[in-house]
Amino acid sequence: MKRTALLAPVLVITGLAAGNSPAATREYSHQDGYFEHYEGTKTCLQCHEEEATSFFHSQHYQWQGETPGLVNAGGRRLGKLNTMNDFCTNPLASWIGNAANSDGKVIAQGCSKCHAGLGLKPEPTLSRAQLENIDCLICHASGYRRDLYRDEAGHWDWKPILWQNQPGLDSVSKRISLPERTMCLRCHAGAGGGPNFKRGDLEYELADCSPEFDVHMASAGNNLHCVDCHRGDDHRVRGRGADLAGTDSPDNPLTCESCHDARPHQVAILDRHTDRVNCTVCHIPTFAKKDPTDMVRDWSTPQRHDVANKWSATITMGQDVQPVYAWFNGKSRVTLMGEPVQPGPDGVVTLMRPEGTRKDKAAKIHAFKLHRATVPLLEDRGWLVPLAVDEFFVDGDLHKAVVEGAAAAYGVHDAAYRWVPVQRYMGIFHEVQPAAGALECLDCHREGGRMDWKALGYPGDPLLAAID
Amino acid sequence: MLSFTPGRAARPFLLLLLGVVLVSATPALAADEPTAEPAKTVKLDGKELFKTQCKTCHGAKAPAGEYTPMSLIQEQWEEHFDGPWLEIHGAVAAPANADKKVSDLIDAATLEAIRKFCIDHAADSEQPMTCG
Repeated sequence: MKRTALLAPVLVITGLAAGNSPAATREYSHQDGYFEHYEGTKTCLQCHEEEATSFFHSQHYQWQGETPGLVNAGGRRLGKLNTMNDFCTNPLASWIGNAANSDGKVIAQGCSKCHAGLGLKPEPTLSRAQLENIDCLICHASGYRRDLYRDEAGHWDWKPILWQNQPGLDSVSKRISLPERTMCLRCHAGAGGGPNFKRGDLEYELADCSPEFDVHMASAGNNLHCVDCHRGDDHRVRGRGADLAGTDSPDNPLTCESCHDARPHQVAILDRHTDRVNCTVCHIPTFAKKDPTDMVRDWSTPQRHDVANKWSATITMGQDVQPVYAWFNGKSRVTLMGEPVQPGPDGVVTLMRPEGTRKDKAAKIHAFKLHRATVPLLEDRGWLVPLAVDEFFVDGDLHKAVVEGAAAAYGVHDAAYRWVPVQRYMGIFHEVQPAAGALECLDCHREGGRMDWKALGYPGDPLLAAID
Repeated sequence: MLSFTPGRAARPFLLLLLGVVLVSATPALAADEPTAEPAKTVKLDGKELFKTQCKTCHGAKAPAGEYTPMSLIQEQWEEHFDGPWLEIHGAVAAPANADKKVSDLIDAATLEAIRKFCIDHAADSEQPMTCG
């Protein structure tokens, strides 16, 4: 009784002081009356089963989707779950589980770390277990964090780190909103193994950046959040860039013209460019402006990191990178797992190539990050082989990583393989500069300018040709 | 507004913090003694202080309960340090000096550094931490 009497005024005071915390200064839904205690996804499903069902069918959950943007998919549903990528290759062999180094430090937790589920692999058929596997809070609750835990049966699950602190979990689970920038960036800026490793134009800096960093998302400028552009109906996110296999919103594409006029400059010569030049070309002169991005990942040459006590591929990073330029008509051509590769004249296999040529009137020149890698290829079948990367990060046993990857992907054991160079064109659409920071005429139209005119199908600089 | 009343589950945590205070007692006592040299401004490392002061009683499987910054959310840490911390740690003898209470052995600057570290790396912060 005495203790309670002493604590009461203290709690009143500290309750007022709690107004200083970031969470207390924001407004969220679900603060009162919706539920008392958060008891996992089933708490959300009491009112939101319809929303959960729509999310179950989305690409963010299925990790595959319809492929109208691919010219050679043949109607198959594709996505990161069943295609080969040039970073950690494929999630099949590295879905979930803590991989700890000899110091006991966890250095990898599997690709499911960025799946909006609680540990089960997504299945195509809707079930109660799959619905309850959806982790609504990872995208909708500010301050929600999770970690990987193994139960007594050895089964791994993602659980809230507050799972032993019910009052804290209740507080966090009621801070519901549309996804905020930090929620999206947690996965989309952290993909590929480190900050900005994968995309190049999606950096943590975008959570609170200047207009010079990104004119759209600048906190003190237009202050757009990811969902302001990418939000679609029924959890179908808009925009596939140029290298995503699946498309969540094929009937609701996202382009610059979704917000801007097709001829926005009020300068004739600039507006004439927009017929064949996508906005990104001039308005994203460089990407990876703060955090370096992975430009080359050579899996054939393991690299030891003594301080971190781990292994990795040999990765070449780039910062403030100038894009490469190619025609893109909205379609892409993919190299699929389980199909013989078709290397180009230079011997390089292109995992994802934008479609379009100078003669294709639907195509415009776009800005790309050209990512290169070296990955295994099944010698007899010519199929790309994903690696089981998590254990490789620990022990550096590359051969084992390839063999286990081939087994997980194809059921092929003791496969003979060799290494092949691959590349992927990744659309660059963020870190957009205002007019003052955009390219100027001579950046492209001069000797030694940034455009490779011949690669784009021109005999030379078209401006110089016109002058001549 | 979240009300966090330390219950049975929280008591080990409070004991842990008491331990932290106790561990930091030595520098705190030293700071109270007159010195000939002018005081220097030293930036206290909250992470290191949490390790050396708090983990003594609140490490893994500790009887007083394991606590890391991400055991609580920011509001709970604020409430705890602004209130119950003093009461709880003022009632627990310091592990290294039974004549002193834990709260007697942690000076204000040390406590503030630990408090800031806990809040900055709480469960609902952008960078939840275990402090290693």
